[in-house]
Amino acid sequence: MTARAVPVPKVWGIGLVGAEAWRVSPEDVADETESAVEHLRLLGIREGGLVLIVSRLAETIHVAPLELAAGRLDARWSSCDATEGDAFRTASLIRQLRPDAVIGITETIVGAVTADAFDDVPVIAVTDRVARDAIPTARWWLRVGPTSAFECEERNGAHYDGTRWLVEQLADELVVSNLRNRLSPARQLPTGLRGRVLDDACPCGSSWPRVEVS
Amino acid sequence: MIEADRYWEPDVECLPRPELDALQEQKLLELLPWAYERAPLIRHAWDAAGVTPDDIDSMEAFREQVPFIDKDAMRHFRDDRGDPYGGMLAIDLSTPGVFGAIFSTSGTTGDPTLAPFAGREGPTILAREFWELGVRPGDAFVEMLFTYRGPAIHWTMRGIGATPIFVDHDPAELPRLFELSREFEPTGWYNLSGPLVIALQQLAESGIDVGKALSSYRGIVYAGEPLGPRARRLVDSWGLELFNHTGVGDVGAATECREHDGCHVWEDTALIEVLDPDGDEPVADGERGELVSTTLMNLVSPLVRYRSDDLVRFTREPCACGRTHGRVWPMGRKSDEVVVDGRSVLPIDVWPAIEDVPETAAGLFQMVRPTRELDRLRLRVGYARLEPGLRGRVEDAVEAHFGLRPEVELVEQEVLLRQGPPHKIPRVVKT
Repeated sequence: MTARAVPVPKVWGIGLVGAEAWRVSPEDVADETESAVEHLRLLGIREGGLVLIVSRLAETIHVAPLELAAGRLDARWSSCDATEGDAFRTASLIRQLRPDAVIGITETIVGAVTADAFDDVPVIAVTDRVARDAIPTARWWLRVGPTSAFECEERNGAHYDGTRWLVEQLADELVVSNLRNRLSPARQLPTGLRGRVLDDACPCGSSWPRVEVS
Repeated sequence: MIEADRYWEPDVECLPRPELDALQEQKLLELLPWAYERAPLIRHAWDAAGVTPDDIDSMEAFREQVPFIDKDAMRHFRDDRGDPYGGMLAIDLSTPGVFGAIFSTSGTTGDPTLAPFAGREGPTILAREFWELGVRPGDAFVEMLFTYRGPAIHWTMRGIGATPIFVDHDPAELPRLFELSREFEPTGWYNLSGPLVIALQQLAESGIDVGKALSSYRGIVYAGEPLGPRARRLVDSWGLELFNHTGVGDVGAATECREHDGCHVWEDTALIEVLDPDGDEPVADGERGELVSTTLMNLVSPLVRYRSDDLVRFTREPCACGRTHGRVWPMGRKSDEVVVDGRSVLPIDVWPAIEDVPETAAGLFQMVRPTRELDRLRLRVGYARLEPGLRGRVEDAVEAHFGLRPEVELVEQEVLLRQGPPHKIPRVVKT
């Protein structure tokens, strides 16, 4: 294509954090991708591996760094919608692609596919309690404000990038603040998550702190 | 300002037909050896036909000798050989440095077919369509795609200098869309669907000024299934300009321009043939036939002479907008066709009649197709409210419009809406 020269928009995209419209810049996405690379490594994604990401479109600002991170690891990724109508795709792509990890499984998906759909998937990350209870080995994928946290194989709290984000317990809710520049600053932003922050060493070896949700 | 700068790539979009034909032939002859050498299904089909790339030195030779493939061939190849890509992957997605992703088709007719992707961030060919909507650098652009299959859409929005706003394709999200529209004043929306039109109508009936809530939009892409004339009039009444959008045989997409006279297929990226659905001969320009597609740009999964099962009308007549690329009108799927008294019937043939009855104006209906050949057309029609004599009035309307009297079963429209993914319902069912 003979590309036109148009200015790159300063706002990469507008998604949702909680119920709030949230603007992110290209620099924000690039920086979150650095975190996402470590998250995917934690989930066992390696060069030549494959991760299946199940999400809603409004979650793109959380998902795009994971997609880019897969590319950085020379892994591949595929995607499905976290909707009842698209649940068949999650089951079908698991069967066809045999992914190393499936992330983003929800109550809706669990309720719409057969119980054995996830049996052969090495790593599954879920986003709600019903899905976690339904899949015995499931790990958390938590949206902590504008960033993500993932559990390692120890399943003792979800790691977040403590070099870029500060998570605190305020009253009985977890709040998050950015430690690096972000287009939309978060200052003790309520996350909607109840739980606590764990700073002790994790047996997995990751130095990142964890959040444990109740 | 929009009219004065109408084309994203004027030199390509308005390329004179002889030059466009020459460009297609050049690209085709470059692509065929690549596809034959690397895509196992292409090689299998060509070897079975006794054809090699050396035999194909012109468009004429291509049309005479190159064998067809179809989705069944891909599924058989997948099942027989254990190849998840159905013999259509032409590069190694694990190659370091390749941004490898695996998308998939809609799965309307079976397991979704894998669609491998390798590329780098930047605008896709959709930039031409997005520009035609009237979206310009600095604008906000709503991405409300009914399914998320990768980043190409939002790459393209940014590629024309716009900022995407990500919203779930869900009627329940329309109030949020209204809020976002008020705050960011987006000029484009990709995309609206039939169920969302119904939801917008319900909001309008509840007293919300839909036209005012969406007054910032210059263009809205409509996709998912055909747009009935009543739905179009309804959206027009809100002051919104819709651009119909359709897939093109799994090698691309096509969208209307501001003339709204067919969807432009970018023929520098895809070679389109329209053939007799029951044979191999081309139909006349503008006549209904099966779309057979060949990519001219996809080196990852290079479909060649792919019989899409899609029935279309297609013309290469120049458009009043000045573009020279052909235009397509989607009609339905070949496998959806029923034959009643020797007459071919597709959902699109009875759609306007059903929309014309006030209680069934949402156009929610299904054709019941236990077999292709039927003694009588059977329709299951969704109603908003059940009034006396409704069944007879629907049957009268279809008969008056199409000349065949159907047997109609009435159901609440919510029953049909629950059967679909968010953007459409199954239009043809076995029982």
